Amino acid sequence: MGREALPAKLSAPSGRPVTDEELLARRGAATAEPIKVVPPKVSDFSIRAMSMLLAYGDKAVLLPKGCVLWCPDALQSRVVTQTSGTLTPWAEFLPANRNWLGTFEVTSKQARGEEPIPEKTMTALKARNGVVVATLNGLPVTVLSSSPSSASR
Amino acid sequence: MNTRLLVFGGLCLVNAPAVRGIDFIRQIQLIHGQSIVYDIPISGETGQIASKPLEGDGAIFQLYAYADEIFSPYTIADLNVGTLAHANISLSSHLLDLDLLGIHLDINLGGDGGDGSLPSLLAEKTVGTYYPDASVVLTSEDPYPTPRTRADRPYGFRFSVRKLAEAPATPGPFAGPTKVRVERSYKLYEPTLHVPAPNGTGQGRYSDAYEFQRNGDYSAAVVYQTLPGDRPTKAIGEETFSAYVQVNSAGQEARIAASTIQVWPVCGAEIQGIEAGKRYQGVPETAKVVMTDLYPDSVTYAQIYKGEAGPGHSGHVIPSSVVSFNTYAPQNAVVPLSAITDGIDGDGTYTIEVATITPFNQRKPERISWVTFIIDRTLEVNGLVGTKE
Repeated sequence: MGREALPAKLSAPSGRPVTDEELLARRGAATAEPIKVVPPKVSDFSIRAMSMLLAYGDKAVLLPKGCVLWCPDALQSRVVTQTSGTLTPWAEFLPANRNWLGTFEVTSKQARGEEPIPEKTMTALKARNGVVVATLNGLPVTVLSSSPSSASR
Repeated sequence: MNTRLLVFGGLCLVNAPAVRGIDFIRQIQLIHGQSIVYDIPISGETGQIASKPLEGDGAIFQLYAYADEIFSPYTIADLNVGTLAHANISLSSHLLDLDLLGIHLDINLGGDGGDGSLPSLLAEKTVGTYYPDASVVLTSEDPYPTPRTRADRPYGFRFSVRKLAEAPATPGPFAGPTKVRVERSYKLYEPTLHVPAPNGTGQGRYSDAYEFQRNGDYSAAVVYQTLPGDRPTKAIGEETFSAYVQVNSAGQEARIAASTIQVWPVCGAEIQGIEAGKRYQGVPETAKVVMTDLYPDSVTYAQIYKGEAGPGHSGHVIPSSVVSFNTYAPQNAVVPLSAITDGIDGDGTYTIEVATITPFNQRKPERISWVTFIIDRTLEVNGLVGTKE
């Protein structure tokens, strides 16, 4: 602060503050037609659109959508869309919930839906009686349906 | 404003959250119109990770980070006002008008949480063999690395696109994007915290959008901010130009380029303690200037000169009134007007004028406010002096 903060060569101040009306007039002259405001657009690839949540107790985990290969009816309540639980990393949620949560490593082709997961494997997974999450190199990944009539989502 | 919040209550620490999510990079693979999502956790602030191999039409990389509850400006405001604030939040009022202990506060608190616990998107990049390369650049008269401008100054917009395929002569199944859509969106900031509301209020888009079907460079030299609000000169927020392309036949769009510019309000200064046109023996000791919304990169000062107010006067700078900032958000200041006897040269009409130097107007001072008054140091007594013998 003080005079040192001012530039060495200080010229005389000029002009006066722009008023709201003047600014509106300049703005109006610069655009062809008045600009209207419309509600925001949610991205097609927003976090909500591309994720799903697993919650148990006061903890939850954010996972890619479509990564759950199998969820028994009794545990459907663990798959949620909204949660008030604390989001925890997958690396900590999985060991803490091993009694009802399991994983199955898939190949890239199976994730892309080009190869189906073998029937025998699916039966074995369902017999585990827990939620099964597909993983690729240990991290959860979406698995596309391999049926030829799958819809575009 | 934040200093007033700390007057009562004091800052109490929240119980540190036990474990929270780890920031991650999300890779969305676009294959035959469907999306495969893969999250890669990251630690540290810089580095490299190996992504899943790229297959299919293209991929969108998104960087997500979790907001730190302890350091969020909304949390700090919330903690300092105690339980009274919580009672008012339940009324779903996002603008909280508090009159507590005689101190008036206007706080815009984040609302009911909503998606507050989900991580927020920091950066996004879309790559693919058939996707065009695009870049949006916003330029301002202020050379600061993060684009920012003042509410009354225009900024420039430059957009360039390459590798955009031409639309086929006969329309057929979707085979890659052939046009880029550019639109402008905005986020209003909370006036004292200078951040957008976490629950998404005060955000929107403008109806003007542009479609580009040819590769090339496009620019608009003069773009004025059009943030909604009562007073355009006091608009505070940010505007973003985003470029989108269609990625599948379902019409979903991915963003390929974006740039944001912050808009800060025009400053105001009120000279208090001196009334216009009044007679004073000297500048009152209580005279001060209350400055609000000084531009983040500015030097503001008051000067005194003889005569009526007007542009082009080089007066005597009042040393106690000079404030200088070089920061990232507008500042407020209150400065005394003291020790200005040097600038007063006999009786007469004087003007005290407040001016500011910002990157705008080529760093030449701009007048903000002024007051003209009369200095009259001789005491005149209307009376007779006589002696009694």
